Amino acid sequence: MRLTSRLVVSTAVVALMGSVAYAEEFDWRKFEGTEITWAYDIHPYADAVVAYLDEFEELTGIKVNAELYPDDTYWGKLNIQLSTGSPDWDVVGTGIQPAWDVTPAGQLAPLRGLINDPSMTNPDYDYADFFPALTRAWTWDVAEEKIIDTPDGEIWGIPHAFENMQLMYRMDILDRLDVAPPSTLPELTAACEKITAADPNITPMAVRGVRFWSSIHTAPISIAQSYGVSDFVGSGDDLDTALDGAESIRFHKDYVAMIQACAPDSWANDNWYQVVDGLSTGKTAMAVDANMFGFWNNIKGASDASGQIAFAPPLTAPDNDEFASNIWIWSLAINAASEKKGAAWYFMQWATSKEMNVRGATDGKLVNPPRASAWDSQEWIDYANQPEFNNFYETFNTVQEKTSLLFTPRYGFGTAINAWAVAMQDMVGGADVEERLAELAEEIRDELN
Amino acid sequence: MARKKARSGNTFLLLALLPAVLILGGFILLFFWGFYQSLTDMRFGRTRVDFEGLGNYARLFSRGRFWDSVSATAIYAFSAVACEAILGLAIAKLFNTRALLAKWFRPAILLPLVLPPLSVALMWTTMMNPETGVLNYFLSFIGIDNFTWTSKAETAMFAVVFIDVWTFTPFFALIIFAGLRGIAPDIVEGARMNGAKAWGIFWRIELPMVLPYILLASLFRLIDSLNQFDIIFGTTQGGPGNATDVLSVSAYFTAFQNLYFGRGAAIMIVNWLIVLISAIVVVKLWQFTRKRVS
Amino acid sequence: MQNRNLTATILNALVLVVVIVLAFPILWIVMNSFKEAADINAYPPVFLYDPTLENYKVLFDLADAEATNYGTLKIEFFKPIISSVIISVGAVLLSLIAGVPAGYALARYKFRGKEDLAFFILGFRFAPVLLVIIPMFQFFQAVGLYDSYLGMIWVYQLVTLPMIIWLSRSYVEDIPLEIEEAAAICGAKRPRILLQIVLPLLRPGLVGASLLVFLLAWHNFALGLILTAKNTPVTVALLKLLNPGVSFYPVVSAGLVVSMIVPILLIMLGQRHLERGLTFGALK
Repeated sequence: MRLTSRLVVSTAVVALMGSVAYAEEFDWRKFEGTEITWAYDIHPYADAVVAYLDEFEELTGIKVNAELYPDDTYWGKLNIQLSTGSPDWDVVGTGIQPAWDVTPAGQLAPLRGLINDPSMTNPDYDYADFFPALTRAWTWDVAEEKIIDTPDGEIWGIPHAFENMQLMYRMDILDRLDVAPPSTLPELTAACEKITAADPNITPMAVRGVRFWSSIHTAPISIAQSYGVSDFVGSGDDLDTALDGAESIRFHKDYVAMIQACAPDSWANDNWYQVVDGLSTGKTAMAVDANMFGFWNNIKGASDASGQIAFAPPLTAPDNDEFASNIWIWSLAINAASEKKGAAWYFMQWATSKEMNVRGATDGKLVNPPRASAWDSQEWIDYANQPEFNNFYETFNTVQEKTSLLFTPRYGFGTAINAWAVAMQDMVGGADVEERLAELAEEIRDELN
Repeated sequence: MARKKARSGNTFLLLALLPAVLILGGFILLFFWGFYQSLTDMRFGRTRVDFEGLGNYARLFSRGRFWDSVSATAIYAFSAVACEAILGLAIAKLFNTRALLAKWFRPAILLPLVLPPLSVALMWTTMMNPETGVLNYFLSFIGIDNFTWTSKAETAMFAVVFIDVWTFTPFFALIIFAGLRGIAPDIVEGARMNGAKAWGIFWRIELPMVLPYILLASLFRLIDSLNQFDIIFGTTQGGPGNATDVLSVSAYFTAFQNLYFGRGAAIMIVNWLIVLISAIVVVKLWQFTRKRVS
Repeated sequence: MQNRNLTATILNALVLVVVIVLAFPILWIVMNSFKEAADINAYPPVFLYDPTLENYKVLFDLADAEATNYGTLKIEFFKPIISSVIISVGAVLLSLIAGVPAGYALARYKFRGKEDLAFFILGFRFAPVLLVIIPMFQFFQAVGLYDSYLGMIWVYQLVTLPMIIWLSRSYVEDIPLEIEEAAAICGAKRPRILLQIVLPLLRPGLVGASLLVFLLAWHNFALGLILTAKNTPVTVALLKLLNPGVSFYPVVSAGLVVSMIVPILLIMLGQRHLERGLTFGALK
């Protein structure tokens, strides 16, 4: 039997079983004939959905137009679409941090009511199945244009797939140069010096250094947590930056020393594509970034690095065994101005369902899937434990326990963390750490208050 | 009779100007709207918008970072335009000689103008990579190792100006070339008969006569480089640190990354005023030199 | 005589240096577009290699999906080129229709505030586009111009129309007034004078000006990104190549080469005219 026809048959069986069991409760064809637009980043996560859109259309009679944009420009476009109240886009891809900036104005539709409504949500959906760290991070209330962080709050988005931050390294290079994978930040600096001495053609380590918050949200925020540093302390109106505190100074001194010893001269221009490129071509020995980049490059035939990239938790402070890992959750949300919220929700619940999680993951695209059931499913266990993925699966399980969103929920996230990224460039360029952090804290207070 | 003619002339004038004025006029209201927004505390992600008068401007002028951006903008634009004018003049002189290759390769001058600046910035970033870039490979032959180009604050401004100069020197070269061609041969010949040396001819005759052309090119280039966004955003995004944080990039960050649209709009307006004033000065200079030459 | 030969040799050598400096980055991009990813990152840089067409196949979605990680996502590159051609050509045509008469009027008529009007028109060339992008987006959505060629052609007038007006004004000023006066004395009406006498004289200049503003339109990025959805221009499509599914340096190189083809063709066809356009009529 050909693969495609087998898929169609199995889907039909699933759909049939669904309709037999819940024929009266759930009607997949309620919004038949509707046409919706779904906007997303160009990403394998998008691919994981696009591959099965035909099935969704067959199941529901809803037509989905996918509108995809490249990473950097997607956000600008999304801001404009949402803030002008345009109904063009029904379902949008977004992340939690950007959502902090747009939910206070009511630009995303609240979802709790839809999730709890049996006539709108298929009983198999099982919202509680998502990792609690992810759903918790998508929950808050909005009052007087401020974010109230509460576990009983409104739900603003559904996790589609997520990245957690890990140390990834080329086993072949570290073996050849006889370097053990480091676990603390100073150990990393020492390992880099050893690599440089042994083979000056290898770049010891790559992390993003660009002037956006995206370069803080990978390595710095994860490692800083182990040094006891947060972006903001306090709560409510007393929320204040802690970046000029003693812990922060200690962390930044170590981190800046690490970048100076480890990262290529091009660090300040490096975005994720340079980081990933270095790892997959074997120019770089190590990287701290989203674990899925290591996973994708390990897929057979995906790159020359296939089978060579291994995983480890993010680095820690020298006197602390506890590591922390930040997350980035690509999620689906509904534009508050959408005129087809029902159909939009149908698409979202299908795209984030248990079946789609496992399928996307075992296609090698939707990594990491956000549902616990996906990680327990035999199909995904078999797939992710293939030899070319090395210790991907077990490292995920270790890291996931200490994974959470390490930024503080508040409006003005982008302003503060972009300023942090600029300050980091200055410090790596030689500015005095203590003075520059004081300046940064002052700037954040000035901008946000 | 005369009256009728005047009226038909007016009708024609109106008909000739109307379409252009209508097409562009539509934008005017939008610009006023944008200017109004610069007087408010408008932010993306917040519904309430309060009128603040000149608050955004007052805030801007009191911040050191704003003045750093102003000076970065000025340094970028004036050094780029100055280099382009000098190199453009040299290239124009070179291609105005009888050298055989100059005739053959004249179209090659246009090559830098065919690439879209934003996407080509990505290519420059790879070519300028300190460790693997092809530019440093060439520099290593003359003993310069690991020049940092766009990746260190000390060299970043030089690197972005370098890209601007590479891209737009041809523009100057072509205009000045046209100016040189326009000088009547008998003037130069006459001077030569009177015993003037090549340098003397250049300083006393050619340069004054092509000066209006240089200023015209400077006008258009100054406008564009005071507004330059694509080249800088595509390579350094304004960094490292704030080394290349020119006004247009700063405005983009404030308005579209940090979502303070009112504050960003104020930066755009200031940038626009700087361009406007520079343009008026250059136009006056241009009119003055043109009068003197003719 | 020998001295002269030496000078000529030096001059030719200098020309060669200038040409190499100007052409090298473009040659390098062309070379990269035929390289495999590993060769692009190699240091020292690779100058001799087995060329591959793989990057172009990926670009036009002919490659085996497995080889690119792309799966079912399509790279659209052909349609954006067509869109860019339609929008840029349309913008140039509209600018010519609206701009040449205006340029003529500014050159030939004396009226109060003429210089102010001319400077005002030029002012659009340096107006901050980012400032109006939000109201423009809202307006386009409200009147249904969003994602339409017509809307893009209109908004590109910000880029193309002021240039066309300024250039055609300077070309008209180059035409001796006596020619028109002579025709008027012979009894020709103004429309006829314009169509049959002035326009043919303007043609070479206008061709050059059109080529120049075509390039400006072709290179525009921000307006296309915000104001289109499906009918995106090629500059936006180029950035779409930056994604985790492809080895982007070689594929982006291929994309750049393809996006250069139209401008280079135009330059080859209209090089002399383009020089004239670039020199604002200075080249007489």
